[in-house]
Amino acid sequence: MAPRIGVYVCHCGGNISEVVDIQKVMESLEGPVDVVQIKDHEHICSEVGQKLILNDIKENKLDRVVIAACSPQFQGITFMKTMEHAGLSPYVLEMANIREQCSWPHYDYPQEATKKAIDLTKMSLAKARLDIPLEKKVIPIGKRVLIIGGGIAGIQAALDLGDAGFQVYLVEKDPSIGGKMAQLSKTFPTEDCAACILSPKMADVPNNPNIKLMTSTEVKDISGYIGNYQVTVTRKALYVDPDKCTCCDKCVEACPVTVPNEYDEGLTTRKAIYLPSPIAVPHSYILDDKTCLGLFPLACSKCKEVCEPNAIDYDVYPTEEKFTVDTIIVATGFDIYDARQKRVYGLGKYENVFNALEMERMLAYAGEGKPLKDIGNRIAFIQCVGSRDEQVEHEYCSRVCCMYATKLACLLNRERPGKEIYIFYTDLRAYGKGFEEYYKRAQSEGIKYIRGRVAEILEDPKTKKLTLRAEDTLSRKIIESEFNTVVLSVGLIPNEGTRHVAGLLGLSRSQDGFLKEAHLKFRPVDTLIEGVFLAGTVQGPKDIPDSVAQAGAASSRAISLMNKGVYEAEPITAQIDESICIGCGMCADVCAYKAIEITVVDAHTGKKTAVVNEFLCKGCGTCAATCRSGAADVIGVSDHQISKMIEVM
Amino acid sequence: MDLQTKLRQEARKLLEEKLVDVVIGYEDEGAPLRTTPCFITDPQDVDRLVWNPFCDHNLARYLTARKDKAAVVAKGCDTRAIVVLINENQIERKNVNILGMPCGGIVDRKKIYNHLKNGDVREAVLKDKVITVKGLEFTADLMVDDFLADCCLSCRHRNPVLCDVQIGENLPPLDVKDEYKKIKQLEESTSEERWEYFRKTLSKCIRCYACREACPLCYCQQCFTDQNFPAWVGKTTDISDTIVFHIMRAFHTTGRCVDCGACERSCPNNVDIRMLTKKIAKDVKELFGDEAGLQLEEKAPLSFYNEDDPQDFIK
Amino acid sequence: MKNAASKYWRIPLDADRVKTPKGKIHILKERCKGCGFCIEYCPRDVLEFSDEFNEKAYHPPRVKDEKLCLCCHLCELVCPEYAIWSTEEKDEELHHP
Ligand SMILES: Cc1cc2nc3c(=O)[nH]c(=O)nc-3n(C[C@H](O)[C@H](O)[C@H](O)COP(=O)(O)OP(=O)(O)OC[C@H]3O[C@@H](n4cnc5c(N)ncnc54)[C@H](O)[C@@H]3O)c2cc1C
Ligand code: SF4
Ligand code: SF4
Repeated sequence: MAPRIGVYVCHCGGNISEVVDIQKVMESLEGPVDVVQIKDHEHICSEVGQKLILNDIKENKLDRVVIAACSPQFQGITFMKTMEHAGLSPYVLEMANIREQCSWPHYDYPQEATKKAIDLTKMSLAKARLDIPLEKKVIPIGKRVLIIGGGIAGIQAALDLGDAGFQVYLVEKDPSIGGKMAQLSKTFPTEDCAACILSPKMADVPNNPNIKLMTSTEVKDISGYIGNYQVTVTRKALYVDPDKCTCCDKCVEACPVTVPNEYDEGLTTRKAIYLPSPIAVPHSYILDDKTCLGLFPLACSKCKEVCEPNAIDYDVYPTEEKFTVDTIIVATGFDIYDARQKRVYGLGKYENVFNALEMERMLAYAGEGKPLKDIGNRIAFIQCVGSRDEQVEHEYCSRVCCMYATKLACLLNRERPGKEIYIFYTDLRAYGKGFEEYYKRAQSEGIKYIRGRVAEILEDPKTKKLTLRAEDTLSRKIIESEFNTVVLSVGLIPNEGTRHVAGLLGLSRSQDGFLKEAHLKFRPVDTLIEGVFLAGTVQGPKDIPDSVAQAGAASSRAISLMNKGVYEAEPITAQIDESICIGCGMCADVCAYKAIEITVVDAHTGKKTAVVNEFLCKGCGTCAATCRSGAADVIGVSDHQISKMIEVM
Repeated sequence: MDLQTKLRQEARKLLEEKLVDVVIGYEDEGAPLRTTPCFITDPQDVDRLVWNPFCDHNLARYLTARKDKAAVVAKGCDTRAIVVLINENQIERKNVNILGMPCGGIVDRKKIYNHLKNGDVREAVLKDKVITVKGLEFTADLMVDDFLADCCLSCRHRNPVLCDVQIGENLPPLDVKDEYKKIKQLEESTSEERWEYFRKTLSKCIRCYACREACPLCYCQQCFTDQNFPAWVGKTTDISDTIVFHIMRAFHTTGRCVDCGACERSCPNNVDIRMLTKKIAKDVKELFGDEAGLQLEEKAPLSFYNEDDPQDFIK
Repeated sequence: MKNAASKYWRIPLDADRVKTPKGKIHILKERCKGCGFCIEYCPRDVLEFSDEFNEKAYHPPRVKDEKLCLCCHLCELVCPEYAIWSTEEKDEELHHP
């Protein structure tokens, strides 16, 4: 039976009709028997217009609708809803964009524009003839969330979701949650002590019955789709039973091995058996088998000998755990730029050059009255190290360095009066709430801000003092001055853990390497993978307030999805013609969503073909473009439809 | 012992011990300057197998869509094709037994015909790198090395890259002077000249699809040229259609073509098919550092993305 | 210190305050039968084969860098000939880990 198509050409209140000759467009479409009616309308998207469509569908028994109007990006959803109201599949609607793609750009060429409008409408008509009334796929969705990364963003999201009654799996690769924030001294602009505001939150995590906390755990594999993500994690062996460990510290005294302490950025040492940090959650000692003298064979076992509660067990092994979740929040955070790459600043060479995170740790120690080192009175900060720097391919601004340098300077200044602190900056950015005020206060406290990039730093080999050469770009003077300590305000960069997770989930990254959101303005915490959200610095440099806000946003996005109980997926997906497919697997290789698998479809002949998982498939069509024999195609935008569209042009 | 005898021995052993169901090799059916693919299932027939510079078919062609276990005589380039086929799920490694032949190059018959000004060769006898050809009115002694196929002159993989049994010692690598000489010349010419060149050579195509049939990697169930829903390319021998056919076929070999030259040798009308495939292979090598068929479990260069992939084409 | 070339390049600022046991290694060269177990198993890579021959014509081990020895006694445990052992230096002298 021939389809019954209704065509509407919209004037868009003159937006279209002032350029395009609507009458001509309508006339050009007359003829084919399946075009049952052709109508024009001032504003087809108006309520009157929609009613008209509804009515026509009923009266004229239309089963396809073509609307020549604006971009489907703009009003597509409106008309799809109209179709649904009329009891038709929204996928038998075609829109010809004769506004954004025609009347607007070709304003000065009405004749040509009319011709193009005719072509565009005819193409939509050709496609509509072959449209299939697809139905949305309904996926049941439960209430389980995986959160990867236990920094402040991951913690906040876990607490939000746990409190709301969702089952949370919080996976952290390090032995403790807390992330970088746990290493900070105090936080700008309020100068709250980081540990004081963070540790209550950290402690809430294991106490929340809805949160399953998995530290020293890495995600090994994720497969599946929204509502059905199959997660495999590897949990490292910790060798100390947290329930038995009384944190008596005896093993630490006994352990002969010292290695740099990660929590203190290597400024202090730890033993092979250690407490990850004073505020660690879970609060238990762990044995680091990479630095231990050896467990296979047992080389030393001094820790076990002294452990009274017998909490240490060497006969444990990494385990794998599998579970299923419905949504995923990625909060794997950032890393700091390795400033040793900027040789002129001498980090890694000069002992009095520190990066900002090291300074955070030094200040934390100084704050407790246990300074690690006398850092002298003349201190310089160098801003934008590894940020806004095309040479190292980090063109972006790291957003927090101006403020944390200000914070560190203020804290140093107050720690012991009589200091002279200079901050060498390129541009000072104090955009956030209370930032400008904080900056002003720092200036009034005597911190000197000098606009200029530092050219080089030289060390006096004997005194270890540092001579810094820079140009003050405001006064155009060359500055050459001696300092006791130089702090490099290193930028935030994407980390290895993020790369790993992005690879597992097939998440795309922005130019700067951070994970890419679905839409910078309107979907800032969504990704292009359904049911996967971003929180915190994994999406781009930001401070703690923004990370927390984003974590809240990500959890509420996840909640709104999961609360519905079902998820409606787009039916436009790839389809494989099994009779043509030879199972070469090219499509499976290129599919960014891992939606295709090569499977034996006929046990008797052993025939293998590609099989599309319609829930994972996003209908991007990459497989269709790759397949040499044309076996892969996209339902709803088939090769056949497109070639018909080209034919009528 | 010469390689041919060794090959026969090896084949006999495989068949007698029932390690394979069939040995795919070359036999001499009497036509001068040629061999024919043969399928030997009986150990008594192994003496039909020959090995000489006329063994020009790429026998990997016969490995796809088989269910039995096959041993195959394979030159360096043929083994590369086998590797690609394994990587593309078309053969299972355990089902093929590769009799790898280090290969000093094969003879391009067409070069001999050209040399003889198309004199009708009735008989050809090979002895120690000298081919004595006889026609009705002539006899000539020709050196094998003067008539090697173009792809053999720039061959970088004369020895098998993958095999179960290697017949004979590895050959030293060929001193290839300028692998891409012709391609470079073409690249340096103006676009009009290039167009003229391609128009000329591709207009000779009669759409017999011999190239497609000879190519070990053209294994699609349904070739794009045969499809009419949608019809990707017209079926005529008009230049507009032949050019689309050849360009598309060449594109389909991207990152896969092992430059065995089977397509070009099979062409009855001397279309320069390798100019397209070789140019693409050159681009793939330069852009992605990849050569097809050198490693098992290697992904085709266009099927994955690396951050340092060249992107200068994005303007 | 391990990892020196990687992320943590600095000698920890508290390095002079941490105490680690200091081992002294004793080798009875003539007992050695050159099995190399001690060299292979030493977690700190303290030992290596020497060039000299003992009476039995084996190369006994020698100490490469005694500072590294933490006196874990593993060499002692693995030596089939009781040819090597370590004792802890009790002096209170601090040294770099
Ligand atoms: C020197 C410095 C000073 C700063 N000072 C301030 C300040 O004063 N005020 C302020 O507001 N902000 C400050 N910031 C910024 C602040 O640190 C960040 O905004 C905040 O830490 C971001 O938290 P996050 O959870 O996004 O990331 P992170 O803190 O990096 O947490 C990410 C977590 O994910 C884990 N992870 C990574 N990969 C994986 C994986 N594959 N699997 C499992 N787990 C993984 C990591 O181990 C880590 O625990 C400062 C930053 C720096 C560098
Ligand atoms: S067994 Fe390992 S962790 Fe325990 S004391 Fe010895 S070196 Fe330290
Ligand atoms: S690329 Fe085409 S032929 Fe190859 S497996 Fe995928 S659908 Fe099948």
